[in-house]
Order: sequence, then structure tokens, then C-alpha cells
Amino acid sequence: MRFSAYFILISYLMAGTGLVAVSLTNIISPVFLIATGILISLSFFLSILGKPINIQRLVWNSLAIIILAAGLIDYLLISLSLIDASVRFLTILMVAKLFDLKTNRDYATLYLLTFFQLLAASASTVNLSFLFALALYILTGIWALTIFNLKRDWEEKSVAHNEIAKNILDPYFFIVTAGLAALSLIITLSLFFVIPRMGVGFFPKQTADTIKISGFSEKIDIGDLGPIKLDPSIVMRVELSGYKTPATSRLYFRGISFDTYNGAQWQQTIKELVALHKNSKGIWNLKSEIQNSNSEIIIQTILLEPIETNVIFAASTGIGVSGNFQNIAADKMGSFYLPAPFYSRIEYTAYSLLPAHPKPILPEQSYYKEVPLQYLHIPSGLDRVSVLVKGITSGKKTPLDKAISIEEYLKKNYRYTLSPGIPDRSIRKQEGKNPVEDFIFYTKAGYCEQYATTMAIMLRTIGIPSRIVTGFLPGEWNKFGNYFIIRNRDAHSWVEAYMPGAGWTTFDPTPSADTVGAMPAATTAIGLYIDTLKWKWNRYIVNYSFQDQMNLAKTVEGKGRSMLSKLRGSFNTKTVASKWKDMLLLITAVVIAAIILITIRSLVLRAKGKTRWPNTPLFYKDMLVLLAKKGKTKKTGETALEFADSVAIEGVKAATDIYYNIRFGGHKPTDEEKAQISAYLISIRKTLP
Amino acid sequence: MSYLSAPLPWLTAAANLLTRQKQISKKKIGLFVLPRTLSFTKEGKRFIAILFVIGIAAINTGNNLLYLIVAMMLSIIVISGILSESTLRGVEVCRILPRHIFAGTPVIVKWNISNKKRIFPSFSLVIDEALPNKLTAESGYILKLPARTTLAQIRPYIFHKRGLYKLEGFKTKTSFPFGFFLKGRRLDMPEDALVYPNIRPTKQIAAVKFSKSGELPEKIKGYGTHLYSLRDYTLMDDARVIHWKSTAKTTKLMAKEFEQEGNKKVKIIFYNTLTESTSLPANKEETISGLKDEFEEKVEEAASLANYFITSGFEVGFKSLTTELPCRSGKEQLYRILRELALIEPAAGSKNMPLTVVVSK
Repeated sequence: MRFSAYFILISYLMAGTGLVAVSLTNIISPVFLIATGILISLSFFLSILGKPINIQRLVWNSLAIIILAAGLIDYLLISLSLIDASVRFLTILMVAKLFDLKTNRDYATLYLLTFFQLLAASASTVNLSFLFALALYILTGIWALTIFNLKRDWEEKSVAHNEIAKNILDPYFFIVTAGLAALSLIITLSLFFVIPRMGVGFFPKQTADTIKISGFSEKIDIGDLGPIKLDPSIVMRVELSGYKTPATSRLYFRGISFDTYNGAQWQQTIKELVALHKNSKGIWNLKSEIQNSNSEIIIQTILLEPIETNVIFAASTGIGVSGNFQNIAADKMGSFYLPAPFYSRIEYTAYSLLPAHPKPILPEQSYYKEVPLQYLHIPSGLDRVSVLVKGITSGKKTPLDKAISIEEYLKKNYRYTLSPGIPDRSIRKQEGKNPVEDFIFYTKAGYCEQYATTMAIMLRTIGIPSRIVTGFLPGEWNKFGNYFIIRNRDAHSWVEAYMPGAGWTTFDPTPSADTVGAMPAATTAIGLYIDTLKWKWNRYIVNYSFQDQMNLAKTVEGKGRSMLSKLRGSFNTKTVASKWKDMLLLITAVVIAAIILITIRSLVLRAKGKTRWPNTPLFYKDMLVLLAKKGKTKKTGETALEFADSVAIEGVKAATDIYYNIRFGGHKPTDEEKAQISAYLISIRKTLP
Repeated sequence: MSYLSAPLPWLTAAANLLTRQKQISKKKIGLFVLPRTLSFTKEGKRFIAILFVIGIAAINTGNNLLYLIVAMMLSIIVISGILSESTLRGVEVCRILPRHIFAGTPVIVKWNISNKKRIFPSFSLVIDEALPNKLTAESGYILKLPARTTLAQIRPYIFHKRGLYKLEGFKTKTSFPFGFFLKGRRLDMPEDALVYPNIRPTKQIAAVKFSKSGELPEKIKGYGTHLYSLRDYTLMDDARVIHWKSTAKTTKLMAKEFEQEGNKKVKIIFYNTLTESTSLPANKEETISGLKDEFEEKVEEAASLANYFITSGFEVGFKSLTTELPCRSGKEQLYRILRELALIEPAAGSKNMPLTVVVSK
């Protein structure tokens, strides 16, 4: 390949990488992208064929001014976003530059533009693909910049082009470049974690599309959750601290609860929000819940996609939340709220109490006074339902037993479907007076909302305070990353009933999806693996924080200390094997320390421009060779003087004295001494057989 | 020995100054001298500026992808450091100087540049002689020096002044791989180079010198090597004396007659002194500079005379206030004289002995 073609190719590869980077941002439309791609290809072929379009400098400058003006108009009048306008501006400028690549300066400008494109992408996306764009940029960047720099150097030094082609355009050069790119990526990631974070910076700009969701506003119509039950969009990923298996599969990620039912719609009438206080550990907590609790606390790390609500989720009974938030509020029903809906992925830690099994207790006289009346309100026209409930709960004494019997009744006698009633409406002869009656007596099929509403109302008909809660089921367990993938289709509604002695207790009358055959197909292993990468990317790169850095430092410090203490206590250990192991560790440490010291010493000596002693004088080396030939070899570790004594030849002793003076005394041999040395060597040759 | 005493303190200062400049001592490399030099190129400065700006943006926004780009840029610096070090490490340069070097005259010096590394080649290497002020030596450039290979390069040098040059070594530098930084390494290759004074055309000078010091030595027929005259060949002559060119021209045998060798003897006497013969400018520095120039002129004059007489077949001797060489002929004698003149220093003199060069029989 000709050098010029090679250079053009790698420069265009870099330009292509820049385009890939900006395409991740979703700022430029597919049409714009395709048009840009076509223009880049055209420019590439013209350059390769050696027929570039000659643009006059004046034309080029005018074009640049027009592009700049268009960029400003885009920013001020169209997009009103600096990032969006910059991405388009940079892309157009890059394409224009590709048609005007003549000098080294033009190429340098092109590389700079591609870098700014990468920069713009970093400010506009949090997609995992950015990592691949970055890796690609590092590869093409290192390759192009190296060749560019060599080209510039040899042009300066007037090296012939055939020499360049011979020396540089070989596979070895590319392999080394690829290796360096890999090394650079490793260094990049290593540095990323150690660059000090300042702990400032709130939410970044919107970096992901908001997911449409329903069921988490002040009102919920029966049937609201239906459409999203078919939506596979991921809403959140949840890692349970200390859990490597989905052991706590019946977790409910609680969002919002509703207290009042008007026959067709649930509402939140108890909506007084209380601002939570952050404790010394940085947790906004509901103090009362913590104080009253003896249950196990489960800590969840939640990565929540942007959704159309300011509700944030916590498993079961949430008792606190921590994260990079300005403030958090909670309502009296135990839901957490941000000040406003968020427009980017957020990561936070939720602290929850695992639900304990309540004991059946008979209610005291004051039982009903503990809860607001809204939890007992029932709409009119539910007489048939009351009669049914009394039948179901007959013989049950405690509220808990009654609630369980209703839950079981609904689970056993009703069918799970995502299209309740509608397909059967044409053949149905009768309908209920309201959705609850319709579900219980006519359709007998529905999904979580119908089940939960029905149970809550049934409980209220027998005087048990109840409410419905919307949130999410744990979804799919990702065995590669050990976390739950929770999708829109995992949205769920369930019941909380107030039990004497136990407080609000969760009941779920909906048959589980797997038992009714409504479970969607599991994600493939590759899908799970890719999702793990996304999770790690978001968890450890996009949302890496000052706190994470502190934790990392503490972990490293802790590991270091434990290693040291292990080393210290090595001689107290009982087993011989571990003693040897520790001894080996100690020796390794000493050897490493010695190597480091020797390296430093040699560096210092090199800096001084000399070794500690001058080199051995040549005559002494000659003498040693001569003596060795005669069978007198200087042993390793034997000093020159000791060797001279052992040889017991006068000439050797005298020469050794001179050798000491020269090597260690800084003495310069005189002509007389030189002559003496020659004489000694001759005499040694003659003396020995 | 009266001329050894200094008549004026500034003359001693001038002499010391001249002496010091001839002996270019090797710079001591101490603990605080880094083994590598590093400077930013224009692109490197821009790169660092962009790095700072993005770093500040990353801190302000808390955007981790900006931190990632900052980390990438830092890794580029690290990679650049590793590669430039790899390029400089293991490179050795050996110079081969010509036997005779004359001040102000270009000479050809051979460099043997070796890469002692086992695996890694060196790229884009610029090599300079580490004594730029005293001599002009063209930089060497190597695009790629494969591992375990040696390349030879021929570089022209110009030593500007006579004297003993203590060449220290080489400076190797590279902007490889990205051109952001210029990293340099010093390669010690100490070597002495004796530079003779410049030799100028001297026929006229020689004539003037002789007119001052006496007549030119007469040419007498004898048994030397230089042609004296041509005459007709006689049977008494050796056949080896026949001058075939003249024989061909005249169509009769012609014989060569030679000059008497012993008669062509001259001695160049160089009064290497600094005295009041030189007019004293008011400014001391100008005075020293003027003296220096005058002294160097005389040294060159002596060298030129020596060259002229040696090439003219004379036996030439040399005498100065500090040394004396007996009369001898041939190129070796010329180099002996030039060596003396290369190192000659001003000696303190008296009024009777102004700075001058004299040719005597």
C-alpha cells in the first residue's frame, strides 16, 4: 500500500470514530447520520484516488464562517442546547474539513475535531457503547497520531518516502499499536478510579430517554397498569447487599400506596409529605421505623432509569435512603419522594426491613382508632361482596386469619389475564355494578390491579383497614451480575392490611405469573451477560462517586492492613504449612524491596554519570586471563588482594597494588608504572609453566 | 625568564581567558541532573491546556465520562512516556573522527548508531553532538532503528576554532510517538579532538617574511628530490634521471638535475607573547577580544607558513617561547608543528618581544 493511501485511511478511520461517538448521543438524526456517512465516503474515495476537490482558501474560510453561523442559529433559535448544537456543528465542520485535507495542519485540525466529537458524546450519553467508542478512538487515535508525527518528522528531515513505507507499513507496527491501545485503555480505567473526585456535581444532564410508566401518581384508574405489563423496558436494576442468589425472591419494591377507592379509581388523600433528615451516615431515614424494628435490614443498591415520577423505590418496608440527593421526603404511608421527577439514571441505596411473619392476634378495642378512616372507606353498592366475604371468613377469628383466607380464595378461584373482561364482553349477559363486583362475580379474571383492589375492598367490608400499593416485583435474577433486572412488565399492585400487633402487612392475592403461565421467556445468557456489562458500566463508571472512591480506598487500606497483620502474626500461627507460606511471603517482600533499592541506587548512580567505581583496568583483566590460562583462576567472592596472596607471585602482588590505587584510589598510572605493569605481565608469563 | 612575568594584570586575565576557552572541560553530571530531559512541543502545550480545561469541567459537572476522557488523556501521556523511553533506551552512538582536523574547514565524521535493545526498535530519533557552541555538526535523524542493529551515518562537522575539544557525547531526542513531548537523553561518548589552526594561502606572506628576515635560500644543484633544471643526457648519467616528457618534446634525451636538499631549511619563530605592541583600547573587554583575534591571526599565519614550506620541500623547524621543534621535512613534521600551534597559548612577554611570526634560515 502506498504511504499516502495508508495515511488517508487511518485519518478517515479516526474521522469515522468521531462520527460513531456522536451517533451515540441520539442528537443527530439517522438521516443526518446517513448523509454525513455518504459525504465522508465520497471524500475518502476522492482522496484515495488522488483527486481531491481543490477548495480555495477563501472559499474554505467562508464555508467555515457559514457553518459557525449555522451552529449559532441552531443553538440560539432551534435546539437551544449548547451540546446539541455543538455536536451538529462539529460533525458538519469535520465533513467540510475532510474535503480540504492538504497540509499537516489540516490533518491536525481533523484529529482535534474528532476529539471534540468524543467529548460532546461524553457529555450527552451514558450508554455502554461509549466505552467501545472510547476504545476505538484510543486505537485509531494512537495509530493515526503516531503515523502523523512520524510523517511530520521525516518531512522535516527529508527522509525518502520509500524508506518510510519499508519501515512503518508492516503488520508488526499495527500489532504494537493495537497492544498499546489495549494498554492505554487499561491505564485509562485504572486512572479513572484514582483521579480524586470532589464530591460535587449533582445530576448530570438528561442522558437517557425517560421511560413511560403509570401507576405512580396521586390517582390510579383500574387498568392503568395493564399496558405496561407488556413492556419489557428495564426500569431498574437492584443489587442486594450480601446476597449472591435470589434468596429473597418474594420481595416487593414498594413505590406508592393509595388509601381511598371511589368505585373506579384509587386516590391518595393522605398526602402530607415530611422532609427527611440525613443522619451522620448520610442516610435519610424514617426514625420511627428503625426504632420499632427488630427485623432484618436488607440493603439494596438500586440503579433507576429515568421514569415519569418522583417516587423512588425500596423493598418491602423502606426505612431509609442514601444517595447523591439534595433532599428526600416521605409520606405517612412509607413512600419516598424526590423533589421532582429525574431525567437521568440515578443510583441510590435503599434500606428496608424484611417482612416478618405476623402472629394472629385478636384486636383490642382501640384497634380501629390507630388508623385513619380512609383505610376503611368503601364505595356503595358492594352488598353482594360483603355477603361473599362473610362467607369466606366465617370461622376465622383474627384479622390475620381473615385476610389470609381472602387472599387464598382469590388466588384459587380467579384467573390471571392481562385483558380482563374485554374479549368476553360480547358474549356476557350480565355485568357487575362496579369493577369489583364485575371481577368477583362475572369476569373472574384479571391482573394484579383487579386482585389487589378486590382484596382491599373485601377486607374493608369486614372492618380491616387496607390500602393498595403499586411497585415492582423483583423481576429477573441476573446470575452473572447477581442482581435483579426489573422491567416495566414487572410492575405490580398488592395489598397492605393493618394487623393488630404487626402493623401494615403485605398480602398479594394475585396468582404468581409463573403458576399461571404468564411468565415471559427468560433472557438468554448472552443477553444477561450484556446486561451485566451495562450494570457494571453504570454502577462503576457512570455513577462512580466520591463515596465509592472512599470505599475503594478503605477497602485497599483494609486489605493492606489485614495482609500486614497476617504477616506480623505469621509466627504465632499453629500450622507448619501456613508458617512456610508466610515465610515465603516475607522472603518475597524482602526480595522485592531489595530489587527496588538496587534499581533506585543504579538510577542514582546513572544520574551521577558514573558507577561507584571506575571500571576494572584492562591490564588487571589481562592478568586474570593470563593467570586463568595457567590454572590460577580467581574465585568468585575472593578479593583481589586475597587472590594475589593465594597466587604468591611477586609481580601479581605488585600489579594488584597498582590496580587498587587506580580503581579505588583515583590514581592515574604514570608512564613508569605502565612500563612496570608490562614487565610484571611478561614475568608472570615466564614464571608460570 | 623575564618574559614570563606579567607586565599588566589584564594581560594575565586575557591569557587565562584564552587558556580556559581552549580546554573545554567535561561538565560534571551531578545528582540533580535528571537522566532525561523533557520539554513540551507546541502541540503538547495545547494538549495539556485541553486536559486542564476538561479536568475542570469534569470536576464542575461531576460527569464521570469526562473523568474517563481525562483519564484517557493521562494514559496517552503515560504511553507517550513509555514509548519515548523505549526509543531512547539502548541507543548508543560512536563517532569516528578524521585524523587531522583544521579549524573552520568541514570534516566528515562517521557515526555508528546502534540499537542494543533485544526486541524493540527505536523510532524517529534525532541525534546531536553535545557541544553545539564550539562546533557546527549537522543533526542526524533515524526514522527506524531496528533492534540489535547498527547504522552508519556520515555527518559534516566544522570546528570553528583551533584547540583541544573535549567532546562529551551526544544528545538523543525524540518526539515519538505523538509529538506532544520532546524527550532527550544524554549519551556519554567522551573523546578528545585536536583541531589545528586554519591554513590560508601563504605565498605572499612567505615572500614578505623572507624579505624581512633575509634572502630566500639559494637553489644549489645537488642530490635532493626537487627538480633543479633539465639538461642534455650524457652517457655518464643514470638512465633513471631521463626526463621522458622533455625527451619526447625535444626528440633528444634530456636529463633531470636536482636541488641540493640540505640547503632548504627554514625555522618559523613564533613570539607567542602579548605586549604593549598592541594598541590599548579604553574598554577592557574589547582589549581582550582584540588581543585574542590578533593572537589567533598570528597562529594561523605560523601554521600557513609551515604548510607552505613543508609542501615546498623545505625542512621546517618551529620555535616559540615555550617549545622548539628541530628542522625536518615531510607531512609528519607539518603535523607536529600544527599540533604545537593547535595548543599554543599566549605567554607573557616583554617590550622587546612583540607578538610576531618570523621565518629564519
